[in-house]
Amino acid sequence: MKKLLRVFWMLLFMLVLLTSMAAAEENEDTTPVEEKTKASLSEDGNYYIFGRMIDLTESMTAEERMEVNHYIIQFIESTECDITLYMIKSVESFGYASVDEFADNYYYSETYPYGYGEGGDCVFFVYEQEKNELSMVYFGDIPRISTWAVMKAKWYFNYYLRSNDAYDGAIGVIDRIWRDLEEYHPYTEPVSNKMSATWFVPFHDEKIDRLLDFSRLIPDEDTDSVKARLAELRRKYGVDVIVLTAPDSDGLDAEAFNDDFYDYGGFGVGEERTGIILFVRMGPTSADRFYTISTCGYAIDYFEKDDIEHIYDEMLPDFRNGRYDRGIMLCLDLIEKQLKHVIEPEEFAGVLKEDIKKRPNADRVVDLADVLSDSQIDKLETRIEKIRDKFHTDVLVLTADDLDGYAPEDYLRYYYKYRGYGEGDTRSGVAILITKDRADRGTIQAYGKAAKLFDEKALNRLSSIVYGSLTSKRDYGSAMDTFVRKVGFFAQWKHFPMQTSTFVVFLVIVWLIVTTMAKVKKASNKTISRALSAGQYVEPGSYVVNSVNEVFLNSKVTKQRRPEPSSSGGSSRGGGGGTHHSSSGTSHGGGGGRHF
Amino acid sequence: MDEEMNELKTDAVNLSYKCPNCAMPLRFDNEMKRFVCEYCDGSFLLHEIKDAADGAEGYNWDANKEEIKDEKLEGTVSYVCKFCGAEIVTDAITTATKCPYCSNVLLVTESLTGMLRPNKIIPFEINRDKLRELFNDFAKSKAFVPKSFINNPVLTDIMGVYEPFWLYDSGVSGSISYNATKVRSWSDSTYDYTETKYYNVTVDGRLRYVNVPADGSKRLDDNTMDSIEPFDYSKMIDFEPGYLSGYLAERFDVSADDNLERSKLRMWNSTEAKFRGNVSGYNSVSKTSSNLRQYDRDVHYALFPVYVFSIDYLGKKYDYAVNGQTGKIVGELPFSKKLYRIWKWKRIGIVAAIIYAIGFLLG
Repeated sequence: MKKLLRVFWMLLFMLVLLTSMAAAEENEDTTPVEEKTKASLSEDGNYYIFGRMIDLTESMTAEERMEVNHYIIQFIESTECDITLYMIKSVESFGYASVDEFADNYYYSETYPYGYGEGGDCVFFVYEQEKNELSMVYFGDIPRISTWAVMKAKWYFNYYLRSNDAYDGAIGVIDRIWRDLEEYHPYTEPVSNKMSATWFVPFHDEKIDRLLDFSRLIPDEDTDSVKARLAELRRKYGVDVIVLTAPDSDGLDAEAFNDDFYDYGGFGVGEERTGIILFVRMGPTSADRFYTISTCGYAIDYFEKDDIEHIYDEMLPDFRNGRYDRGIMLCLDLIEKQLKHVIEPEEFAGVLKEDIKKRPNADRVVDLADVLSDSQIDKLETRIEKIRDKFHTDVLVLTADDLDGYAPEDYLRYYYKYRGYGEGDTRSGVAILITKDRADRGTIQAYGKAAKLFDEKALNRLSSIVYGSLTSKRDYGSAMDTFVRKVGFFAQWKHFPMQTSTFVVFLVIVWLIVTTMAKVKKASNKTISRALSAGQYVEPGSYVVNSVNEVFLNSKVTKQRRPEPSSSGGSSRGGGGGTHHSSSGTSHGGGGGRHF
Repeated sequence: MDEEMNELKTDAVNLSYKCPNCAMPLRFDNEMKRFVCEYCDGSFLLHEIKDAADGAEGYNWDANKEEIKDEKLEGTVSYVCKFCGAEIVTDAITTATKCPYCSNVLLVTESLTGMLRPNKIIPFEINRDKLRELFNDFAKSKAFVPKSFINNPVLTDIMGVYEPFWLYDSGVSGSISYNATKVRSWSDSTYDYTETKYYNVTVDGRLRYVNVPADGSKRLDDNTMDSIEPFDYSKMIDFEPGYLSGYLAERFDVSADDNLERSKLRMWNSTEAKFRGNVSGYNSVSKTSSNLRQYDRDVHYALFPVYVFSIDYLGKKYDYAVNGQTGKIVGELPFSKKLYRIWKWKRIGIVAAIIYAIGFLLG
């Protein structure tokens, strides 16, 4: 009997255990958000979420922070996902090496109870003020947030931050993520969880897709090949080519949206952010559906207005017929065709795109043949900088050991032109190319305004001096030094700040003035002239004025209309010839588009 | 018609018509066929002038000469220059051999009638040596004078001559009228306004001139004599023949009337300047008419000390006159084109070099 009782109690105990476990499992977490997230009662009697909106940069007022926190409560209740936004100076100032480390620490710490539900889902935003970067770290099991949403979040945050409205920025971020979570997009993969909040970001990584086909116009089996093609175009021509399809333009005008997307997305090659982006906006009606192209950097010059319009026209039939993928491919074909047309041989362009450097600060001594020592290069660069400063003439020293079959003049010209050398509008400068071991293969050229200064005679003189130095000393360093020094010398002596004509005009004016002075001096020699006054013979005190009689005759009033004040200075919109500015201020070409 | 005009012209030349308004000499304008007074811009027909002349105040300056004795000054000797006709007088002791004006031989003429006795004289204060010194300074002080001239001016035949001058006293009175304007401007948001008030201003007054000099010498150029003014009248004393000792004096010959015009012009100009000074506070003033006349006139005859000499330089003769009292020298100095050019181009060169250098440095 005792044994039976013991079994019974054990069974009962197990039953209770199991049921309670089951119950616990099935039990929905109904604790209010406040409790779960350890809300505390503040002095003013309001509940607030503990530390979701932490602003250590003092960009928001206390009221604003409270508002954001309230908003976050709503977000969490609706999406069942936690979100937090830290605005700090930098993770380093907290003693962390990276945003991940920082986020980990705070997420996992006991004091800061982040994470919703079992999985502890949380979207952790960190804004580092010093770097002007907004980063995002995922925790838990939340559905992936689309690149789209993150970009928009980043964009909004940045936009509002620029107008010192951190509050709206924070709300914007939360909004974007909220909306994205509601319209769950399973097919997109966030490519990076760290994106900069600045609007001028030279991205050179492959991580961000250049094919952003949110409206899924390209068939799945083709996406890889399209992405590869875009990458190839970029490599070959140094032009970033992006295809973006989306269901809306976020309430903005399609062209403006396109520009902003490009800018805030950090696309573009080099400091000028050379690139071209095709945006296809889908929608239920023809009025909604629209495609437009925007260009930036050098691409503005590569694609003139007419070229863009031509592309639009060619694309239209396919788009009208619903063959969107064909239309897009056709667009890419036309883009490539134009690039081929305006940019010199692909092999040449391809070689250089790997190591793009900033233009005005690019090296002026490019030692591809590795014949110059570092100290020699430094000396040359210093000298060249002085010449650029003083005479507004660029100088490029280029050595190479393989010209890929190109004539030295062509190679040098392409290099100079497409690497962005040259001062001023005319891209004025002098360049030398020396090929190693073949001292007779080389060339010195002058471009732009400098070509007037360094005419054929001057270039010939320069050439003979430099080559003489090369053949006699076989030392590239000293030959290049001679070259640069001579260029400086020529520039100084021939480059008279005034044109000859101006100098002549000056001379004439000086001659006139001096001649007048001389005449005056000569005239002062004249001692004899007729006396015309008797002023010194007036008997003192004899001058008597009897009367000075003033009679008023009439008066006349004339009036003249005042000139109209000039109309208020135009905003810096719309640069010359077809360029416009995005909200970030970057100049874009292209624009216009077609409904389909 | 033409005959008439010719007649008029001849008349004008002979009679020297005076302007009815301001008594200045009239000029016949061929275009307008009228007599024009350049002084007050009046223009007249002949009959208007004649009518005015009849009633005009004439003044016979020569009547003054009654005070001036027409006699042969005792203790003086007269000479005549055969070459240029100059009539020289000096005291009995001093012998004049060369004509001070043309350096030719003088002939003594006892038969000349006496000259007018001067009222006043200003004695010489500058002697010949001082003169040389002053001339050197003079030559050095002027521009573009050839070095060789400065270093070695050959002052030959320096003659100290007492030149006859008329000294005029006269009161001038009358009125001058002007057109004057006062301008005021202001603006509102639409217009700029300009108000011009027109006035007629008349100044009426008088003043007196004393001892206004005019050259009484036939020989010497009037403008030159004007230019060596002023003389310091405080040193002017009553005439005594003794002062002529060692110096020559030109025999006075020109009638006072003849250079009345010169002195009158001077007086008119100065009077106008004075009156104009009383028209102030206007934006613009322009003379419309002038109505002046002389009164209380008097004339004296004086001898003033003048050196006259010339210098030959490179084939050209340069004449000079010097105020024998103050030492003021007038006359044309040789002009070196070379020095002129050098001066000019040196400066042009310097300025051009500076411009070039500045441009160079600014790079």
